[in-house]
Amino acid sequence: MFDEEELERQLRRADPATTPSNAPPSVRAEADLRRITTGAAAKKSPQRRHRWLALPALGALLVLAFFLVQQVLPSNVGGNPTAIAATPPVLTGTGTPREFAVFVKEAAAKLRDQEPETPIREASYESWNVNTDFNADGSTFSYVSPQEVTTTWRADLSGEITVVTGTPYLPEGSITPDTAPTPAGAIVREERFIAGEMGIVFAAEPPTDAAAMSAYLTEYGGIEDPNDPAQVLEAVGQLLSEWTLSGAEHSALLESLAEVPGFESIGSVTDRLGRAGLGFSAQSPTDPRFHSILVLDATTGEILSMEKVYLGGVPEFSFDPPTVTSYIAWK
Amino acid sequence: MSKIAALIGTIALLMALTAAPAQAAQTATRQAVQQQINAALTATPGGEQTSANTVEWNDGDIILTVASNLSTQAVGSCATGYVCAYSSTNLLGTKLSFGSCATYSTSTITVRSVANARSSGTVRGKNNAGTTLVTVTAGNHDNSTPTGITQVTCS
Repeated sequence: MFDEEELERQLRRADPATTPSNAPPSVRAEADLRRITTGAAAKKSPQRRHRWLALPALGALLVLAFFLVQQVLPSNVGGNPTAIAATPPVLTGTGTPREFAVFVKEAAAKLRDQEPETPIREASYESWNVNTDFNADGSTFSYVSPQEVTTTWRADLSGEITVVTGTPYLPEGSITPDTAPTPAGAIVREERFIAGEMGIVFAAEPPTDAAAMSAYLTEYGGIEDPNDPAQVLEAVGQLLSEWTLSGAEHSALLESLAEVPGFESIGSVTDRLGRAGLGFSAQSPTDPRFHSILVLDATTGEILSMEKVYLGGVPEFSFDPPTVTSYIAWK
Repeated sequence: MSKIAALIGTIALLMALTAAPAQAAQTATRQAVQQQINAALTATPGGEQTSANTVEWNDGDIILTVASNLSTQAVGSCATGYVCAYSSTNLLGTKLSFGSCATYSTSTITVRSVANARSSGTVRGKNNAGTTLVTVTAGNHDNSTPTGITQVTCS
C-alpha cells in the first residue's frame, strides 16, 4: 500500500529542482563559483588521481591498439578488396546425388506423424553472416558475425530474443578475439518485446496441407515468384526462424518445396553443426550473383540448414567469389 | 524499508545508470534500456511497461522513463550515426550499415527490418519503382518491414 505522505516527503528530498529558479545561490554554490572562476584547484579524489596517473598508460594502449588495427584491418582503410579466407568452405557433396522432388516427398511421408504435434512459437539457431559497413568516407568493410539466436514469442506479438555472439572474423581470415567488441559466448542481446512490438512475418499458424503451405509462404513471406527457389528458400528460412513446426507442417513444407523447380542435388554433405545431410543447390533465375544451398537431414529429411553463396557481381563487396555470405542452422 | 522507498531507490539507481559517462552512453542500446526496465520491474513488482522505455506503477501515479536520449545512440546493433538494413526481422541476420546520408542499394539481401541510428532525419525503404514502403525516424527502427525494399535513402 502506498503511503502518500512518505512518498511526497521522499520525492521532495530526492528532487533537486525544488529550488525556485530566481532564488539566490547558496553559500556552497558561491564557493564553488569562486573556485571555478579563480582556477583554484579542487581537492582531487583518489579516484581522479588514479585516472590521471593512468593516462600515459592509456595513451600507450591507444597507440598500440592503433598499430594493431592497422595490421589487422587493412581493408578498413581505403576499402581495398580483400579475399575472405576465413569463411567456411563452400559445401561440396559426395556420393550419389538424389533427385530433390523424390527425396523430399519420401521425407514428407515420414515426417507427417512426427513430434511435435502442434507448432511452437519458438526457434533456436546458429547463424553466420558477412556484414558490410559502407562508411562515410566511401570505404567498405566486411566482417563476419556468428551468432546463436533464440526467439520465443506469443500470439499477441510479445516475446523475447536472446543473442549470444561468436568471434567475428575479418576479411583476411584472422580471428580477432582481441579486437572483438564482445567476447565469444557473451550474451549481446537479451530483449523483451511488449505486445505488438515483435517483428513476426508468419504470425498466422502454419498450415498442414502442401498447397496451403505454398500459398502461406507466398502471401506472408512476400515471395514475388513462387518458381524462384532462392526466393522460396528465403521465406522458408524466415518461417523456421519464427516457428518450430509440427511434424505435419514440416511435411507440408517439404511437399510444397517438391513443386518448386530449380533444386539440384550436390550429394551428401556435413552441415556447419556437423550433422549428416543431403545438399541441394538453388539458383535464382533472375539473380546470378548468389545461389542458395538447402541441407536436409540425410535420414529424416528434416530441414537442417541453409546457406547463401556469393558468386560475383557486387562491386561493393570486398571479397572474392565464391564466398559463403551467410548460413543458418536450426537446432 | 517501505515499498515506496525501495521504488525511489530503484529510480535513483536507474537515473544514475542513465547519467553514466559518455563512453558508457555510447554503448547503451535499447537492449540495455530493456534490461533496466526489467530490473525496475523485478525490484518493484506491480509496474506495467507502457512503452519501450517507460514503466508505470499505481495506475500512472509513478512513471519511470529510462534514457530519453536514445535518439542519438545506437539502435540495437546499428551503430550510432548509421542506417542499417537487416535480412531478418527484429534487427537480426545479415546487416548492411550505411554511414552517410545517400541512396544505397540493398539488393544483396531481402530486407526484413531497418534501423535508423542517426541523430536526425528520416530513412525510407523503397522498392525498385521508388515507392516508399517504410519510413523510420531518427533513433527508431522497424522490426518487420514489408518485403520488396531494394534501396534505402535518408533525408
